[in-house]
Amino acid sequence: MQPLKMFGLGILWALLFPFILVGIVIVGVFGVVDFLIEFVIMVINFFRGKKLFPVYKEDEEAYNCLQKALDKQNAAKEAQAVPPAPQQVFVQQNFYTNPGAVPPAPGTPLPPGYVPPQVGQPNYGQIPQPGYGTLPPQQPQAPAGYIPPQPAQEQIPPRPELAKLPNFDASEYGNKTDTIEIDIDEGGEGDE
Amino acid sequence: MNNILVSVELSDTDRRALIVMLVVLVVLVILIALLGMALRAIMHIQADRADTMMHDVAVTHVIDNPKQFRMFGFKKNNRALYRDSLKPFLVGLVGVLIWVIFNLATGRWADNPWEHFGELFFRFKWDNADYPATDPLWVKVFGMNLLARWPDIVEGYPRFAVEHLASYFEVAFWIVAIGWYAFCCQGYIARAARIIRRSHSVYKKSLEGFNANADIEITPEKPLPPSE
Repeated sequence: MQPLKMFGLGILWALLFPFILVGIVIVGVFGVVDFLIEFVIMVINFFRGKKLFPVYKEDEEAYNCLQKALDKQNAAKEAQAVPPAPQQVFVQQNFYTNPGAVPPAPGTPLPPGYVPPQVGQPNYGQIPQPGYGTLPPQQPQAPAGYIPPQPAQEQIPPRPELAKLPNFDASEYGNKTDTIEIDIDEGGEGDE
Repeated sequence: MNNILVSVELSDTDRRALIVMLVVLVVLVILIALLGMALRAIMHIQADRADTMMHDVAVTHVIDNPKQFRMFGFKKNNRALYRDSLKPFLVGLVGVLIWVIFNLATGRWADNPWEHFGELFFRFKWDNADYPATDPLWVKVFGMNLLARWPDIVEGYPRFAVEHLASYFEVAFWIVAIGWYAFCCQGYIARAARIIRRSHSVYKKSLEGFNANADIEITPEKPLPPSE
């Protein structure tokens, strides 16, 4: 029904087209006059140093009203704002030697004036040297609950299903098929 | 009775011609309807700009009566037409500049650029004098001049002449400018119609479904006992 209605409206608008055309001609003539007037206004505004198309007074008032409403809304939102979440700070610990200090040999007493390596003081630009003041290479500690990967276990071949065994009746054993162990030996009859 | 039936009997040729005419008529109606639908859709889109122009002043109640709304809408619509028509006017101006420069160079002010532009298309013989009396182009039917046949094509057209190249460009610019400007004017009409309609609907106060007596509620309650 809707497409048919649109179709009918289309025909109606097509019939209106000559009148629209007359309107376009009239507006076209008016538009030339309007163009000249607006052009003169634009030139005057240009030489006055104003904007070419200054904002209308009504539009400015409307803009101010909207801006006030927006500011009010933002202020209300800020008042209701939740406190910021606590930030986690990670402290980097450096175990490097002091700048310019010669590390003593391991096992010897500390020379006077020598400050052992400090924890928590960064020492940029120094290359860590093996010996005193440096830590031996560490194995990374596994986190709690971490299970190291196990070597792959030998695959056990699946046992044959009892029901599929030849000449086997499970009812003879009270259907306790899960506890019965059968020696599967094809040449077992002649062993005795 | 029999004579009447014989008189409306159609030959195969007549039947075919009738079917063809019907098909042509249906296609024509469909085309006209589609054009009308397109025109309506375009004008709706153009009119939507009026809503954008007038939204803020209406929402903030800076303008709060229909007359003010129409006046302000008229002002803004005029400026919108001016701003829209700047581009087509500029295109037209380019055409005029080409015409002036070309004629200053050649001195052929009397030439008609539209005539030159017409050379690029087919031309038809519209004069009855070009046809034999036995097979005229126009015939009189009930006092009206009607086409009796397809007009013949004038030989030698379309053609392209390099010396008329400037005219081709000028007229092309002018046609674009006129079409564009007509589109702008159509937009102006659409916006004006929307502003007038909105000036009634935005500030409309309706009493539909309102009953003044419905607000009066009488609740027969017992008076409170006097305090001790």
